[in-house]
Amino acid sequence: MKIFVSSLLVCLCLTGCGRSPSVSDDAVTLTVWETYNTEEHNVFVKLTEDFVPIAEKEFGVKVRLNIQRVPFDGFLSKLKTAALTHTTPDIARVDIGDMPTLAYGKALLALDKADGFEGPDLETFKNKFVQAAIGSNLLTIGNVTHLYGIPDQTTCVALYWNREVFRKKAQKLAAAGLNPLEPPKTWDDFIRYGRALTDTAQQEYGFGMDNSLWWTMPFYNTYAAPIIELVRGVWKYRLAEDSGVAALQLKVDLYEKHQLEAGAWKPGAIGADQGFMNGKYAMILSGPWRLETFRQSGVDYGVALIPAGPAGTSTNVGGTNMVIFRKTKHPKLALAFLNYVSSNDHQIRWSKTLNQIPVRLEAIRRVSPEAHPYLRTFMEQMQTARPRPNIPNYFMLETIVNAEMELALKGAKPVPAALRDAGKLVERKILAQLNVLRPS
Amino acid sequence: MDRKTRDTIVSYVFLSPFLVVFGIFLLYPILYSLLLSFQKNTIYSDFYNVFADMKFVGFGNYAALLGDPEFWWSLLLTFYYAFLTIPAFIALSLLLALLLNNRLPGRGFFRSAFFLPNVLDMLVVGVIWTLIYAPTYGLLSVLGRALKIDVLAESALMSEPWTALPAVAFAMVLKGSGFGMILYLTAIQNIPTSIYEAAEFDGAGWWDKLRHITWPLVKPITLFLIVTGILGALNAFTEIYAMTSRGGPNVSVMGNTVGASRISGFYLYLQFEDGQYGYAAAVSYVLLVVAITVSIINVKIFQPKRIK
Amino acid sequence: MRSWSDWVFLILRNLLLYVALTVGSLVVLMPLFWMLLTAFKEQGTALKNEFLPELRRTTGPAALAPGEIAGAFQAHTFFHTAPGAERVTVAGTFNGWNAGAEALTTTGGGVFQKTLRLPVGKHEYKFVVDGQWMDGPNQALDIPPSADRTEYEGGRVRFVYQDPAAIAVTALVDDKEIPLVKDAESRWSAEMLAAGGGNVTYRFSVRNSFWAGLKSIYTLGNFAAIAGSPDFPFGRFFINSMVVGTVSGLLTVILCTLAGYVFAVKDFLWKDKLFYLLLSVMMVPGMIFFVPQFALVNIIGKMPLFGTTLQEMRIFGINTYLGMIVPHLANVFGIFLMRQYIETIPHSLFEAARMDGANEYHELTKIVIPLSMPIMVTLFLLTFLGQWSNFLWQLVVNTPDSALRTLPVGLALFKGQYLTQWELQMAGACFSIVPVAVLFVFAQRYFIEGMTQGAVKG
Repeated sequence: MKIFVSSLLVCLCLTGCGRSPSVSDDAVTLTVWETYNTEEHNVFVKLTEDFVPIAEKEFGVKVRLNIQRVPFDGFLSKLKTAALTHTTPDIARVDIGDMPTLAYGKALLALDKADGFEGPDLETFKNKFVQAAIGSNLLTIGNVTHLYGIPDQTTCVALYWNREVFRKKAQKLAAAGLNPLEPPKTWDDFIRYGRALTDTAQQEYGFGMDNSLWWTMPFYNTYAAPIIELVRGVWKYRLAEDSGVAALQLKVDLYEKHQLEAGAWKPGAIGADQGFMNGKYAMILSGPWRLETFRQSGVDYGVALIPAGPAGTSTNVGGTNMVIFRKTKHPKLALAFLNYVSSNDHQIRWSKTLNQIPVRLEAIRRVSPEAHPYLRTFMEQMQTARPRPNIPNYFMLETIVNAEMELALKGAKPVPAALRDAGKLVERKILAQLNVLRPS
Repeated sequence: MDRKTRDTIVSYVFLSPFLVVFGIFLLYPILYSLLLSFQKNTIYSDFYNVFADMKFVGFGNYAALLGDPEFWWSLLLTFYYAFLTIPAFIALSLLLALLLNNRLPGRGFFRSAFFLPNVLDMLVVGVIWTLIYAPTYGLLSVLGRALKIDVLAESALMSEPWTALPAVAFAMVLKGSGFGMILYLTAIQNIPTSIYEAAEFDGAGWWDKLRHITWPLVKPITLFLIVTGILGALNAFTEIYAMTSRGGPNVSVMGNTVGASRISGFYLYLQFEDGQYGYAAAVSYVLLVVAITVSIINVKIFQPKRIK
Repeated sequence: MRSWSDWVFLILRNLLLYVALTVGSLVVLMPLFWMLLTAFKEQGTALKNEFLPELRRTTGPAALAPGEIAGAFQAHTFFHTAPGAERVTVAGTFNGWNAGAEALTTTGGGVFQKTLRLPVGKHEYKFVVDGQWMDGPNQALDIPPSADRTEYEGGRVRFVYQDPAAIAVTALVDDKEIPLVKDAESRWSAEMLAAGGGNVTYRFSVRNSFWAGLKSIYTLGNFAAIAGSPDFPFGRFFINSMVVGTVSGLLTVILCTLAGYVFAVKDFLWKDKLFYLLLSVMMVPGMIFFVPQFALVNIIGKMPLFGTTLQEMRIFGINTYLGMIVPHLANVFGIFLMRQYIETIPHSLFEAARMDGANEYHELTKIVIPLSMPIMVTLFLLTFLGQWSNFLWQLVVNTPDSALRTLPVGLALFKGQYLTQWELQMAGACFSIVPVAVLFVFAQRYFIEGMTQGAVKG
């Protein structure tokens, strides 16, 4: 009994010294939840300090920014539970994949109709941004399209090539009529390079690739293969068409027919990044987030545009958008914050400090000449990216398509059949829900 | 007041703190979930009031669930996983407990060593086993090439549908057996040494002592491990999440593409992730029925006669 | 008395046992080793297969003719792609911009190449294709100095090798080994008479300093980065995790011992029905509780109570210790475990006590608790560990700026969407695992070793 009572006492005492009670004055507090990494978080806090005086001047109130960092893992759970208790923040930085879930669930403010929208109209506004980045914010729910967020960060993958490995295999490459000081520019070239770089006996491969849909989009996009498309108000699955089949067939051939791919796509294999870092895969696709770690681990690498397919070079898109929650008490101030974060000035400072791709085209034009050549390559590649399917069940779509693509890569299913089977499931499990007209 | 009435009152007084918490934080959510399992939310359901913005569908979720081959497959895999883990787990735990019950110098170190993996984060453990199992560059494969053992050199345990789940099970048994060892140790050390002495006097060898004294006397712990093992298998999620890519590798079974390690806990997770609350609640209830059935069978088999 | 063969058997058996136990524990501890090593690795190199420094390496063979100085010239291969071209030459500072001097060869396919030995230093060059100078600015080329500075003059070879990390250098000529002596900072040298006066072929065998090598792979910087980070107030997280773990453990043990005792010993109304209800609730997949439990914590915290709320008093609700602890106290596992264990206590003990007029309180304090101490400690430890690593619940119950955030929530900050900072995360994990490991090492001595001795039973 004594333990019971004393432990309860201890417990209660300790609860007392929890958080200091929140200060209450007449300031307007804007709460922002974000998932930046440590370095980005610090830069973000510092750069947004300048927003406060601007906003105070414009709105005539005292403004306090409350920027809170949340781990990326579990962020969506955190948002969902917060919504349940109506304790969502004013603004959140959400992954472009989670964005439609929130918008369809009526959690977000439509910005193009809000007071303070930069505009002047949606079309003009749209054209100021990297297309793939702004595209993830434009959602057609029911029959109307609105803007539900503004991108703050955008990213894509490009081709990394290991200069040291290329030099080591210089004679073999030259013998195949390939310049070892340059990366391949088309998929045909890529195959020739890959074959010359592969030495199975030494477990050295020309290429290492991932299996998932997101990582396969550079292939689909260089073939201009659509995945799903909204045609006259009805969502249709289109990946099983000729272009999609050809793109996936290329991927399958890299592994099966040309044997220049290491099998990095296999579940449980050493991933592309790790193989590249250890000099085992001469080329991989990866994003700008690897520029620094590859340098730190002493890899002598180059970055090039993704090899061109029938539709030229292209890539996938990732990144985050800033959104405003419906329950916010300060929509105007929140939108001013979003405008600030996506402004050219902020984007340029952000890009220069952290070596990232700006979301605005003008910002790209302005930073690009001084940027590191590799980052410049990413900026160029970013503008070729095509938006990805913008639907609430994107991750279910990945699960379904990934499984079928894996079977195709393993040779367990012909490519057309795999993509057709994926289509049947996608139609039934995902598109059927979308095609039910939105209850008003 | 007769004995039973008095005992009942006293017992419920002792139980009351537990029952209060139990009623509020377990029973209520479960009953609420039962309600949810007859409803369905859509992608258009209000994010702020998802549970209020659901449609009554009767047994619709259950019908959809029982008609989903992926669910049946995941259930089958769960039994397979339980079959792979539980006997190995019990055997290894008991073996470790017996070995470390000796007056062996350094036993404290070994006990700690075998227990420590329980503390480690699943994601770290996942990374390690990837580095061991990986095709071509994994430790097993490198060893296989060095020793010229082709089976090992060409192994890709997590990439092949037949070996993926056993490979996960192996890693989990190694990670968890320290816990079973502790439970067995506490039980074994409570067996009075006089019983062993009497048996030795009758000329019993170590096997007889194990078979006729230790094993029956640690049976409550064994039963505990079996029941919790079944529950562990039904709830298993983290290990699959950390060690496989979404329950892969994938395999085609009777025309359906299914994940070779997508056991029911992971299947349930996918439904939650997809925001299908009603459907997920229905899955939970079906799993509950399965768990109860299996446990009753087990208790019937393993329940020891009370020592009077 | 034991015979010598018994002794041999005993020793062999123990030896085998130790080998098996050691191998076994090494295997199960592999993740721990990886974690520790990664915590000390330089940032960005966590996934690099580099754990031990390279201690000895041999340079490629080099040939020197009389009168030459090694390292003054380096071979460099020029490549140029010019499909359909007849003749490609390279002209630059090294050949007086002579467009006709160095012709590149091709093996077909339009790629031309030429290897030239160029002096150390900066150069500029341009390709000339079929007599046409290529457009654009001159290309720059930097030939770095090499470590090998060997000189061959007057029938004597003076081996010179420069390497700050070396601790011993040997020159290998044919089958001879010539040790080099350190004659200046990071400079090694030795002399040899060259017989015959022809070309000399040699290699260097370099031994590197283990410590220098180790230092190039490992660092203490990760710990410093974490300790100094305002985002990761480690002390605060640690105390929070400690409080949540300890209080959860204690309360769970108390609740479960009380309940386990009555289920094991007492006979009361609806006992079996209640027990099976508890057991079946234990079988519900845990994910289903998550959202409703959170809603409940929030609702209870905001319920009006004497003009205020528990939330306002910071006793229960969001951002409170009890909010993190209480929902997980109803641990049916614990009751099941306690009941299973208490059932093994011989019934005669209770009957004897009852004869002496003991009531339930006495039974509990005099028989059950002393005899069940090992399992109570085990249950405490399990609950503690469960709470120590509980991520999702603690993330959700705390707002992102709460001072009560715990270690798992803090550690998750190092895991990004595309990139996990393994080195930092593992350094943080060390902080979180070491205390638990120490706790266990001490606890196990107590609860496994100590209990049997004074046991009442037998």
